[in-house]
Amino acid sequence: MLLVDIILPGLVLGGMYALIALGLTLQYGVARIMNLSYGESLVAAAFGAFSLYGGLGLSPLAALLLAVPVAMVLNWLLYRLLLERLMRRGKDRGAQEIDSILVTFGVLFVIQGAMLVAFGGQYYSYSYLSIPLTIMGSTLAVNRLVALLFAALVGGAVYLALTRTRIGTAVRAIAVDANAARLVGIDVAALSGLAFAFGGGLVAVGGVLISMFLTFNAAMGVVFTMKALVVVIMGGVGNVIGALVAGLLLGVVETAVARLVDPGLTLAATYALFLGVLVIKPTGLFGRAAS
Amino acid sequence: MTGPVRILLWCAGLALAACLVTYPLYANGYYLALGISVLYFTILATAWAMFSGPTRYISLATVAFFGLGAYTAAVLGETMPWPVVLLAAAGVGALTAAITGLSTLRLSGIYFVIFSFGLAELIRQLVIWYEVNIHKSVGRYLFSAVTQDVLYWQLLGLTAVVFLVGWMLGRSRYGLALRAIGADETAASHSGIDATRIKLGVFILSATFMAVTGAVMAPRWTYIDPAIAFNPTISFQVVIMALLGGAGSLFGPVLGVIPLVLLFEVLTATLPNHFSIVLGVIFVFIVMVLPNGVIGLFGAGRWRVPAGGPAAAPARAGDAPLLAVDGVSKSFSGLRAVDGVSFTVTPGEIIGIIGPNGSGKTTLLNTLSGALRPSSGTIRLGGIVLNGMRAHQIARLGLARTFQLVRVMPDLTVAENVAAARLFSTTNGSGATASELLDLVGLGKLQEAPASELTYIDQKRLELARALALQPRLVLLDEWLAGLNPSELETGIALIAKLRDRGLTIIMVEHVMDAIRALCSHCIVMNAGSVIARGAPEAVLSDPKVVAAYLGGDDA
Amino acid sequence: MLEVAALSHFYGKHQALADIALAIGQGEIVAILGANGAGKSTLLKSIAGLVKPAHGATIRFEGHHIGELPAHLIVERGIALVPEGRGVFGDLTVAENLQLGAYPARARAGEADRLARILRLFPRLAERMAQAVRTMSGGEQQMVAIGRALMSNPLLLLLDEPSLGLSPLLSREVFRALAEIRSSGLSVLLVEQNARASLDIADRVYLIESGRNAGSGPASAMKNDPEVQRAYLGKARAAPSPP
Repeated sequence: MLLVDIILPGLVLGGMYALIALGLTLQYGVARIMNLSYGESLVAAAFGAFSLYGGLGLSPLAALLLAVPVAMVLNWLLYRLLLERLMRRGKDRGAQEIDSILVTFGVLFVIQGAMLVAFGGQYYSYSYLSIPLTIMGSTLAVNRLVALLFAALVGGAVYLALTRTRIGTAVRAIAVDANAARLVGIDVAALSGLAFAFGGGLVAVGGVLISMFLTFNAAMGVVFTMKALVVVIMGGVGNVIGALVAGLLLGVVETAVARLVDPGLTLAATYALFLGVLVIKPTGLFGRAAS
Repeated sequence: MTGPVRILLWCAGLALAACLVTYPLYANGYYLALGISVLYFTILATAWAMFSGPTRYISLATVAFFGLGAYTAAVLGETMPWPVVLLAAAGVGALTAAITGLSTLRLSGIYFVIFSFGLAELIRQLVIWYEVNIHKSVGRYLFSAVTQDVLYWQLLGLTAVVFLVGWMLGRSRYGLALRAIGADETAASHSGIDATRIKLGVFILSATFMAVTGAVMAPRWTYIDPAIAFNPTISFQVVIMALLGGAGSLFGPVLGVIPLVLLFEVLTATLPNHFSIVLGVIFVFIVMVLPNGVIGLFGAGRWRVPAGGPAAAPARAGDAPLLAVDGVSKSFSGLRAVDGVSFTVTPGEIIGIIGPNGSGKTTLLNTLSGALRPSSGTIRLGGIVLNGMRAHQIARLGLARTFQLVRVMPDLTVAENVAAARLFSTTNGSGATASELLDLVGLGKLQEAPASELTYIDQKRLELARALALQPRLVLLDEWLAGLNPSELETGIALIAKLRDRGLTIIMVEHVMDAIRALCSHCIVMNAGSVIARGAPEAVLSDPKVVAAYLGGDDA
Repeated sequence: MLEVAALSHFYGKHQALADIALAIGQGEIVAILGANGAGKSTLLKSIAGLVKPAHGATIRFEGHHIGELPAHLIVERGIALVPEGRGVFGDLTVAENLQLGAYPARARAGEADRLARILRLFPRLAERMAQAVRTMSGGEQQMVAIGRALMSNPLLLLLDEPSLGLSPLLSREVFRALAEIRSSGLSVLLVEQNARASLDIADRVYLIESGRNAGSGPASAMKNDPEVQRAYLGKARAAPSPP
């Protein structure tokens, strides 16, 4: 059935987008950093999984155990050494945002350049669990379903951490009102750094999972950053459930466009959706006007 | 400037121009190529700064327009005469900028940056789609008889044009309007400046230059494919060059282009594979090291203040209400901030609006000035319905205001702040000049001071002068007398009384009861969004309802 | 317990506070009166660590200098601020807001008891624990804000315009709660627009005018002081009559 052929893979893809966007929600919604190099972290993680699989025969799922901590540490260093200084220096929100966007723009070139040197510009892929499975008349690869399962597990764990633990609630509080958070004794700078690092860990999970079934190259980071940004803004900045809904929506729309119109127009469709949502509701589907 | 010095400068300028024009005749291949690089980056950086400089909207989309121009040349270059190709490239750039600008410039600055970031990627994908499906092959050959010399001269001509246009823009009223928008867009809108239209116009202009540059440069490559034409490194380099050289002035970017082009030459020669990495590291270093952040690089370009527009109409005589507010409400997702407020204001009155904090007074003013749209009810100024009009349109109709948190345009001088309100004046007649207004509020001696360096009180005075410069019929004062010590208060009250005596109608939101008693003929008391009392100040201030809600006790 | 001396603060060129001095003892309610824009909010924010005072200021709490500390460490020392406009986390529930109030280490022990006491103080909140705070009325949000501050187990409570935008009825409830809070041994520093209500409940009063100390004394004396009426209630005077 065409509908199932679109919706099922669309949800799988959307689930990945939702997970990737979750990391950016933490980085932008909490730490207030518009990280233009976000997609490069994802591609770097994909390359990492590829190398470990090709070199050591390590399954990507096991590679997660290595990739995630490394990504978290690197992102935390990025925040502490560079970005925190900018946040403290910025005279107002606008200046902070511009500085952070431009610095991460520079970091983008550094990471992308490093990957180009190490891997060149060609496309890579590897085959892991590419066993076809038929569900409801539609054929999906097992690796995609496994990726979705892992994404759901990780996403669910993060959601529970954010809503049921004290520290998670504190992180959400910073996203709602950073100044009020100070008033309840929350060390906003330290926790923002932690949220940023966590966001980096999440995007690494996404990168490793995606590498199982997508072809990737060193220059693809920009597209992923754009899609993550689109999902975050569509869902309303800082809103976890919003990011989930927006991610799934994007996944389905993109798959539909790829199947019904043309696979080369998916980014155009993403933009059209993005603009459409913003024109109708400038604060995003679930967002509220900033206080 | 003295005569001989002037002549000397002119000679030096002509000599420089001569050198530039004859450059291809004495420069060999390598140096000519370098010259070409300097020129095309100069055009791109200057065009970039034309928009992003004054508005502070950082565009990361340079290569989107550049690439479109290059592709237009590749597609049309074989079949059409060259001037037509250039025109087509300009058209394509302008159209694309118009479409993207219309959709994104109304959004906040950060969304614009994000969208511009992905624009090049989007256009690249659209071009690939077109090439694959319609042209049936990706990549085009452009065989052209254009030599390096001709390329250079085209670019030189284009450089001259971009500087000329930039200079004319700066001296026109749009130049000051742009800087006002960049300094404080809300204040600019309320001074009658149509911010969206001006931003769009300059964005289109800037993109057109970038597209034509791309078309001119296309023959250099011989073979074009989307990856070459839409190389994001170009966007990045242009931003660095413009920022380093100084995005706030017309000749700033070129100062950044020259050293960086040379630096990049060296880098490409010595570390070809690591170009991206080094570029990124340099940029990160630059941003980190700047003491005032990237914003500090924008500086305050000092462009000449154009002569003010025609001055405004005298106050209307007669008893017909100047302002009629009828059942106005404003809700924010379920919260009724203003609930069914009605009142009229006759010309020459001073109306006071008082009430506890949070009673909806400022929200009411915001619906009157166009900063917010009322959820229901009608607002009429001199019979014209204001609902749905934007702030700049209402300002041009003669409704001016000050803000509770004072909004001056910080990088503009005092005189420029006032001039900004004159730029798009639609009324005719005689009225006070900017100098007279500044003298009236007590800032006559500070005309050239940057507004950011004024004291708080002086900034309030400047805001009032700027509001008055609109030659308004009605002025809204939002807690203008707040924070004044007793002597400043006396001066302030006297000033407002003088304005009324000159025929101005005023609505003042205030907490200072002395001022209300001294100035207002009529008062409205708001609480929790609705009007709970109205009448003469003495009556209203002793009304037990008002006392209970607001004063909380006997008012001696 | 709290001593402030030589406190100044500048917003750019504008001097919001000039050489402010005050002191608060254990179990007192001290009110700060002054016209709008006189610098009262800035004073509270300086004590709470949200704004940094100019060089030379002394802020001592329980014998320790706190002028250089960031806001979140000042909360750990036992000072809680209920800011102007309440500063509640609108998208979070009442329960989450109160739970966050107990985030500082000093508030963990006895958290459950404290929560029970606060819910007795503000019974309305007990019925709405799962409600998102931004959907509640101004008065209820104020209760959440005060409750959250109390959850941090403070020794000194700073309140910036607690009756802002509240109906007289809800204002009275808030002031009743403040009196009860004082009776539990807490000190309170209060900035309030409603002069009469604050004079009724305070022990001592400071007057601030244009960022400077303009007088102080016991509340009972201040109530009848013409200076207070001039600075805060706006007395009538012979003025040019409007047309």
